[in-house]
Amino acid sequence: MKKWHKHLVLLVALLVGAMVLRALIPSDERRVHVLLAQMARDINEQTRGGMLSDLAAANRVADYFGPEFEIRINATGAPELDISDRSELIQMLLSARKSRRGVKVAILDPQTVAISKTNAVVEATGKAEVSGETDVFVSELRFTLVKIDRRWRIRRVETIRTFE
Amino acid sequence: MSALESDQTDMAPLWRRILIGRNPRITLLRAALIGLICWTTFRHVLLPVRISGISMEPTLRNGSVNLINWLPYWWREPRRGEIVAIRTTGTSVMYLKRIIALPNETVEIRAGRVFINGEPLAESYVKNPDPWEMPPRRLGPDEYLVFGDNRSMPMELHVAGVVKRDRIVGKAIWHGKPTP
Repeated sequence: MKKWHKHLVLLVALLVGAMVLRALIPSDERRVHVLLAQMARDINEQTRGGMLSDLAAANRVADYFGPEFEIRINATGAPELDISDRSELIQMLLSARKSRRGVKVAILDPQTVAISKTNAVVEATGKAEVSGETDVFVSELRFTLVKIDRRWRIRRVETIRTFE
Repeated sequence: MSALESDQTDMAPLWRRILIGRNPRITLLRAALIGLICWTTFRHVLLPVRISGISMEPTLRNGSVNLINWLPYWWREPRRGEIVAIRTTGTSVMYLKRIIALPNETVEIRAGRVFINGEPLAESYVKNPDPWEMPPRRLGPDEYLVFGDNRSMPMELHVAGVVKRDRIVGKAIWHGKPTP
Protein backbone atom coordinates (compact mmCIF):
# COMPACT_ATOMS: atom_id res chain seq x y z
CA MET A 1 0.00 0.00 0.00
CA LYS A 2 1.34 3.41 -0.92
CA LYS A 3 2.26 5.79 1.88
CA TRP A 4 -0.46 8.33 1.05
CA HIS A 5 -3.02 5.52 0.88
CA LYS A 6 -2.11 4.57 4.45
CA HIS A 7 -2.54 8.17 5.55
CA LEU A 8 -5.89 8.40 3.80
CA VAL A 9 -7.13 5.17 5.41
CA LEU A 10 -5.94 6.43 8.81
CA LEU A 11 -7.73 9.76 8.31
CA VAL A 12 -10.98 8.05 7.29
CA ALA A 13 -10.69 5.66 10.26
CA LEU A 14 -10.18 8.62 12.60
CA LEU A 15 -13.20 10.44 11.18
CA VAL A 16 -15.42 7.36 11.43
CA GLY A 17 -14.13 6.75 14.97
CA ALA A 18 -14.95 10.32 15.98
CA MET A 19 -18.45 10.01 14.50
CA VAL A 20 -19.09 6.71 16.31
CA LEU A 21 -17.79 8.17 19.57
CA ARG A 22 -20.01 11.23 19.12
CA ALA A 23 -23.04 8.99 18.52
CA LEU A 24 -22.28 6.73 21.48
CA ILE A 25 -21.29 9.44 23.97
CA PRO A 26 -23.14 12.61 22.94
CA SER A 27 -22.19 15.93 24.48
CA ASP A 28 -24.64 17.72 26.77
CA GLU A 29 -25.36 20.19 24.00
CA ARG A 30 -26.28 17.40 21.62
CA ARG A 31 -28.38 15.69 24.29
CA VAL A 32 -30.39 18.89 24.78
CA HIS A 33 -30.94 19.35 21.03
CA VAL A 34 -32.01 15.72 20.66
CA LEU A 35 -34.37 16.09 23.62
CA LEU A 36 -36.15 19.05 21.99
CA ALA A 37 -36.46 17.24 18.67
CA GLN A 38 -37.76 14.14 20.46
CA MET A 39 -40.32 16.23 22.36
CA ALA A 40 -41.62 17.68 19.07
CA ARG A 41 -41.90 14.13 17.68
CA ASP A 42 -43.80 12.99 20.78
CA ILE A 43 -46.19 15.97 20.54
CA ASN A 44 -46.92 15.06 16.91
CA GLU A 45 -47.24 11.33 17.58
CA GLN A 46 -50.53 9.89 16.41
CA THR A 47 -52.14 7.55 18.91
CA ARG A 48 -54.87 5.03 18.24
CA GLY A 49 -57.32 7.59 19.53
CA GLY A 50 -58.29 5.94 22.82
CA MET A 51 -58.41 7.94 26.04
CA LEU A 52 -55.67 5.87 27.67
CA SER A 53 -53.24 6.07 24.77
CA ASP A 54 -53.85 9.84 24.52
CA LEU A 55 -53.20 10.19 28.24
CA ALA A 56 -50.01 8.13 27.97
CA ALA A 57 -48.81 10.31 25.07
CA ALA A 58 -49.60 13.52 26.98
CA ASN A 59 -47.74 12.17 30.03
CA ARG A 60 -44.74 11.33 27.86
CA VAL A 61 -44.61 14.95 26.69
CA ALA A 62 -45.07 16.24 30.26
CA ASP A 63 -42.08 14.09 31.33
CA TYR A 64 -39.80 16.41 29.34
CA PHE A 65 -40.55 19.08 31.94
CA GLY A 66 -39.13 19.27 35.43
CA PRO A 67 -41.25 19.23 38.62
CA GLU A 68 -41.33 23.02 38.53
CA PHE A 69 -41.71 24.63 35.15
CA GLU A 70 -43.37 27.46 33.31
CA ILE A 71 -44.43 27.87 29.71
CA ARG A 72 -45.12 31.42 28.54
CA ILE A 73 -45.66 31.58 24.80
CA ASN A 74 -47.15 34.66 23.23
CA ALA A 75 -46.90 34.50 19.44
CA THR A 76 -48.76 36.96 17.22
CA GLY A 77 -51.96 35.46 15.89
CA ALA A 78 -51.70 32.34 18.05
CA PRO A 79 -53.45 31.61 21.34
CA GLU A 80 -51.39 32.67 24.34
CA LEU A 81 -49.99 29.86 26.48
CA ASP A 82 -49.29 30.33 30.17
CA ILE A 83 -48.85 27.00 31.95
CA SER A 84 -46.94 26.15 35.09
CA ASP A 85 -48.71 23.06 36.33
CA ARG A 86 -48.26 19.49 35.10
CA SER A 87 -51.97 18.61 35.19
CA GLU A 88 -52.74 21.82 33.30
CA LEU A 89 -50.17 20.87 30.67
CA ILE A 90 -51.59 17.36 30.32
CA GLN A 91 -55.09 18.79 30.03
CA MET A 92 -53.96 21.17 27.29
CA LEU A 93 -52.21 18.37 25.38
CA LEU A 94 -55.29 16.15 25.68
CA SER A 95 -57.64 18.85 24.41
CA ALA A 96 -55.26 19.54 21.50
CA ARG A 97 -55.35 15.85 20.65
CA LYS A 98 -59.13 15.72 20.93
CA SER A 99 -59.66 18.62 18.52
CA ARG A 100 -60.34 17.33 15.04
CA ARG A 101 -57.86 19.63 13.37
CA GLY A 102 -54.35 18.16 13.37
CA VAL A 103 -51.51 20.29 14.68
CA LYS A 104 -47.95 19.63 13.57
CA VAL A 105 -45.23 21.08 15.75
CA ALA A 106 -41.55 21.46 14.88
CA ILE A 107 -38.64 22.80 16.90
CA LEU A 108 -36.07 24.02 14.41
CA ASP A 109 -32.55 25.44 14.37
CA PRO A 110 -31.68 25.05 18.07
CA GLN A 111 -28.84 27.35 19.13
CA THR A 112 -27.16 26.83 22.48
CA VAL A 113 -26.82 30.18 24.24
CA ALA A 114 -25.26 28.89 27.46
CA ILE A 115 -24.55 25.48 28.88
CA SER A 116 -22.97 24.16 32.06
CA LYS A 117 -23.05 20.74 33.71
CA THR A 118 -26.47 21.36 35.25
CA ASN A 119 -28.05 24.23 33.31
CA ALA A 120 -28.61 25.04 29.66
CA VAL A 121 -30.26 27.80 27.68
CA VAL A 122 -31.22 27.00 24.10
CA GLU A 123 -32.98 29.22 21.60
CA ALA A 124 -34.96 27.60 18.79
CA THR A 125 -37.71 28.37 16.32
CA GLY A 126 -41.04 26.82 17.12
CA LYS A 127 -43.37 26.22 14.20
CA ALA A 128 -46.95 25.01 14.43
CA GLU A 129 -49.06 24.12 11.41
CA VAL A 130 -52.78 23.64 11.84
CA SER A 131 -54.21 21.55 9.03
CA GLY A 132 -56.60 23.51 6.86
CA GLU A 133 -55.20 26.91 7.87
CA THR A 134 -53.12 29.10 5.57
CA ASP A 135 -50.86 30.66 8.16
CA VAL A 136 -48.24 28.81 10.13
CA PHE A 137 -47.52 30.00 13.63
CA VAL A 138 -43.86 30.77 14.10
CA SER A 139 -42.24 31.90 17.29
CA GLU A 140 -38.69 32.04 18.50
CA LEU A 141 -38.47 30.28 21.84
CA ARG A 142 -35.97 30.26 24.65
CA PHE A 143 -35.74 26.97 26.53
CA THR A 144 -34.12 26.91 29.96
CA LEU A 145 -33.20 23.39 31.02
CA VAL A 146 -31.87 21.85 34.21
CA LYS A 147 -30.26 18.47 34.77
CA ILE A 148 -32.16 16.41 37.29
CA ASP A 149 -30.97 12.87 38.09
CA ARG A 150 -28.59 12.94 35.09
CA ARG A 151 -31.48 13.80 32.79
CA TRP A 152 -32.17 17.14 31.13
CA ARG A 153 -35.61 18.57 31.89
CA ILE A 154 -37.23 21.76 30.69
CA ARG A 155 -37.56 24.42 33.37
CA ARG A 156 -38.90 27.33 31.32
CA VAL A 157 -40.14 28.06 27.79
CA GLU A 158 -40.61 31.69 26.79
CA THR A 159 -41.08 33.70 23.62
CA ILE A 160 -38.30 35.79 22.11
CA ARG A 161 -39.47 38.70 19.98
CA THR A 162 -38.15 38.59 16.40
CA PHE A 163 -39.58 42.06 15.74
CA GLU A 164 -39.55 44.85 18.29
CA MET B 1 -5.33 5.56 -22.37
CA SER B 2 -4.01 2.93 -24.80
CA ALA B 3 -5.37 2.52 -28.34
CA LEU B 4 -6.89 -0.82 -27.39
CA GLU B 5 -8.80 0.68 -24.42
CA SER B 6 -9.95 3.57 -26.56
CA ASP B 7 -11.34 1.19 -29.12
CA GLN B 8 -13.13 -0.76 -26.39
CA THR B 9 -14.83 2.35 -24.97
CA ASP B 10 -15.89 3.43 -28.45
CA MET B 11 -17.42 0.02 -28.95
CA ALA B 12 -19.58 0.38 -25.84
CA PRO B 13 -23.31 0.08 -26.59
CA LEU B 14 -25.11 3.27 -27.55
CA TRP B 15 -27.43 3.24 -24.51
CA ARG B 16 -24.41 3.05 -22.22
CA ARG B 17 -22.66 5.89 -24.01
CA ILE B 18 -25.81 8.02 -23.73
CA LEU B 19 -26.35 7.20 -20.08
CA ILE B 20 -22.83 7.28 -18.68
CA GLY B 21 -20.71 8.66 -21.55
CA ARG B 22 -17.59 7.31 -23.14
CA ASN B 23 -15.58 7.52 -19.97
CA PRO B 24 -17.49 6.66 -16.76
CA ARG B 25 -14.79 8.23 -14.58
CA ILE B 26 -15.11 11.60 -16.28
CA THR B 27 -18.92 11.34 -16.17
CA LEU B 28 -18.75 10.62 -12.45
CA LEU B 29 -16.42 13.55 -11.92
CA ARG B 30 -18.72 15.85 -13.89
CA ALA B 31 -21.76 14.64 -11.93
CA ALA B 32 -19.94 15.24 -8.63
CA LEU B 33 -18.91 18.72 -9.78
CA ILE B 34 -22.45 19.59 -10.87
CA GLY B 35 -23.77 18.26 -7.56
CA LEU B 36 -21.26 20.38 -5.64
CA ILE B 37 -22.12 23.51 -7.64
CA CYS B 38 -25.87 22.92 -7.13
CA TRP B 39 -25.40 22.28 -3.40
CA THR B 40 -23.30 25.42 -2.93
CA THR B 41 -25.65 27.55 -5.04
CA PHE B 42 -28.93 26.46 -3.48
CA ARG B 43 -27.58 26.25 0.05
CA HIS B 44 -25.41 29.35 0.30
CA VAL B 45 -26.22 31.69 -2.60
CA LEU B 46 -29.78 31.27 -3.84
CA LEU B 47 -31.93 29.68 -1.17
CA PRO B 48 -35.26 28.34 -2.47
CA VAL B 49 -38.22 29.13 -0.19
CA ARG B 50 -41.91 28.37 -0.22
CA ILE B 51 -44.10 31.21 0.96
CA SER B 52 -46.55 30.26 3.65
CA GLY B 53 -49.05 32.89 4.74
CA ILE B 54 -50.77 35.94 3.37
CA SER B 55 -48.76 38.79 4.90
CA MET B 56 -47.02 39.68 1.60
CA GLU B 57 -50.14 39.48 -0.57
CA PRO B 58 -50.92 40.66 -3.21
CA THR B 59 -47.23 40.90 -4.16
CA LEU B 60 -46.26 37.37 -3.12
CA ARG B 61 -48.94 34.71 -3.02
CA ASN B 62 -49.36 32.06 -0.37
CA GLY B 63 -47.84 28.78 -1.58
CA SER B 64 -45.64 30.39 -4.24
CA VAL B 65 -41.93 29.75 -4.48
CA ASN B 66 -39.15 32.33 -4.38
CA LEU B 67 -35.37 32.43 -4.22
CA ILE B 68 -33.44 34.34 -1.59
CA ASN B 69 -30.23 35.84 -2.88
CA TRP B 70 -27.66 35.93 -0.05
CA LEU B 71 -25.04 37.85 -1.98
CA PRO B 72 -26.26 41.49 -2.26
CA TYR B 73 -25.96 42.31 1.42
CA TRP B 74 -22.38 41.11 1.61
CA TRP B 75 -21.22 44.33 -0.04
CA ARG B 76 -24.11 46.76 0.41
CA GLU B 77 -26.81 47.58 2.91
CA PRO B 78 -30.50 46.79 2.37
CA ARG B 79 -32.52 49.50 0.58
CA ARG B 80 -36.02 50.78 1.08
CA GLY B 81 -38.66 48.88 -0.88
CA GLU B 82 -36.67 45.66 -1.14
CA ILE B 83 -38.29 42.42 -0.05
CA VAL B 84 -35.89 40.76 2.35
CA ALA B 85 -35.61 37.47 4.20
CA ILE B 86 -35.34 37.77 7.96
CA ARG B 87 -33.89 34.81 9.79
CA THR B 88 -35.17 33.39 13.05
CA THR B 89 -32.74 31.28 15.12
CA GLY B 90 -31.68 29.77 11.81
CA THR B 91 -32.81 29.79 8.22
CA SER B 92 -35.24 26.86 8.27
CA VAL B 93 -38.04 29.38 8.80
CA MET B 94 -37.65 32.98 7.64
CA TYR B 95 -39.94 35.95 7.35
CA LEU B 96 -40.31 37.75 4.02
CA LYS B 97 -40.98 41.46 4.56
CA ARG B 98 -40.54 44.74 2.75
CA ILE B 99 -38.12 47.37 4.06
CA ILE B 100 -40.03 50.51 4.96
CA ALA B 101 -37.59 52.59 6.97
CA LEU B 102 -33.80 52.64 7.21
CA PRO B 103 -31.45 53.17 10.16
CA ASN B 104 -31.54 56.57 11.88
CA GLU B 105 -34.82 57.52 10.16
CA THR B 106 -37.90 58.66 12.04
CA VAL B 107 -40.99 56.73 11.06
CA GLU B 108 -44.61 57.38 11.86
CA ILE B 109 -47.90 55.88 10.69
CA ARG B 110 -51.07 57.95 10.54
CA ALA B 111 -54.34 56.39 9.36
CA GLY B 112 -52.44 53.65 7.56
CA ARG B 113 -50.07 56.06 5.78
CA VAL B 114 -46.34 55.77 6.46
CA PHE B 115 -44.29 58.93 6.99
CA ILE B 116 -40.49 58.85 6.87
CA ASN B 117 -38.84 61.88 8.50
CA GLY B 118 -42.19 63.63 8.15
CA GLU B 119 -42.59 62.91 4.41
CA PRO B 120 -45.31 60.53 3.18
CA LEU B 121 -44.02 57.30 1.64
CA ALA B 122 -45.52 56.27 -1.72
CA GLU B 123 -46.49 52.61 -1.45
CA SER B 124 -48.26 51.40 -4.58
CA TYR B 125 -47.90 47.79 -3.44
CA VAL B 126 -50.25 48.26 -0.45
CA LYS B 127 -53.94 47.68 -1.22
CA ASN B 128 -56.79 48.49 1.19
CA PRO B 129 -54.69 49.25 4.27
CA ASP B 130 -56.20 49.15 7.73
CA PRO B 131 -55.92 52.55 9.48
CA TRP B 132 -52.79 51.71 11.44
CA GLU B 133 -51.40 54.23 13.89
CA MET B 134 -47.84 54.39 15.18
CA PRO B 135 -46.31 57.32 17.03
CA PRO B 136 -43.03 58.74 15.66
CA ARG B 137 -40.09 56.44 16.34
CA ARG B 138 -36.46 57.04 15.51
CA LEU B 139 -34.68 53.87 14.43
CA GLY B 140 -31.29 52.95 15.81
CA PRO B 141 -28.09 52.80 13.74
CA ASP B 142 -28.60 49.13 12.82
CA GLU B 143 -32.40 48.95 12.86
CA TYR B 144 -34.79 48.57 9.94
CA LEU B 145 -38.58 48.80 9.94
CA VAL B 146 -40.16 46.02 7.90
CA PHE B 147 -43.80 45.30 7.07
CA GLY B 148 -45.69 42.89 4.88
CA ASP B 149 -47.59 44.34 1.92
CA ASN B 150 -50.88 43.00 3.23
CA ARG B 151 -51.93 45.58 5.81
CA SER B 152 -55.63 44.89 5.68
CA MET B 153 -55.60 43.43 9.18
CA PRO B 154 -55.21 45.24 12.53
CA MET B 155 -51.61 46.12 13.32
CA GLU B 156 -51.51 43.80 16.37
CA LEU B 157 -52.17 40.79 14.11
CA HIS B 158 -49.45 41.67 11.62
CA VAL B 159 -46.13 39.96 12.32
CA ALA B 160 -43.61 42.70 11.53
CA GLY B 161 -41.76 45.60 13.09
CA VAL B 162 -38.22 46.68 13.78
CA VAL B 163 -35.39 44.24 13.13
CA LYS B 164 -31.65 44.40 13.62
CA ARG B 165 -29.41 44.37 10.54
CA ASP B 166 -27.85 40.99 11.43
CA ARG B 167 -31.24 39.32 11.00
CA ILE B 168 -31.58 40.37 7.37
CA VAL B 169 -29.94 37.58 5.40
CA GLY B 170 -30.92 38.09 1.79
CA LYS B 171 -33.11 39.62 -0.84
CA ALA B 172 -36.05 37.98 -2.58
CA ILE B 173 -35.35 37.50 -6.31
CA TRP B 174 -38.96 37.83 -7.47
CA HIS B 175 -40.90 40.86 -6.27
CA GLY B 176 -44.16 39.83 -7.89
CA LYS B 177 -45.89 41.62 -10.75
CA PRO B 178 -45.45 45.39 -10.88
CA THR B 179 -48.54 47.16 -9.66
CA PRO B 180 -50.27 49.52 -12.12
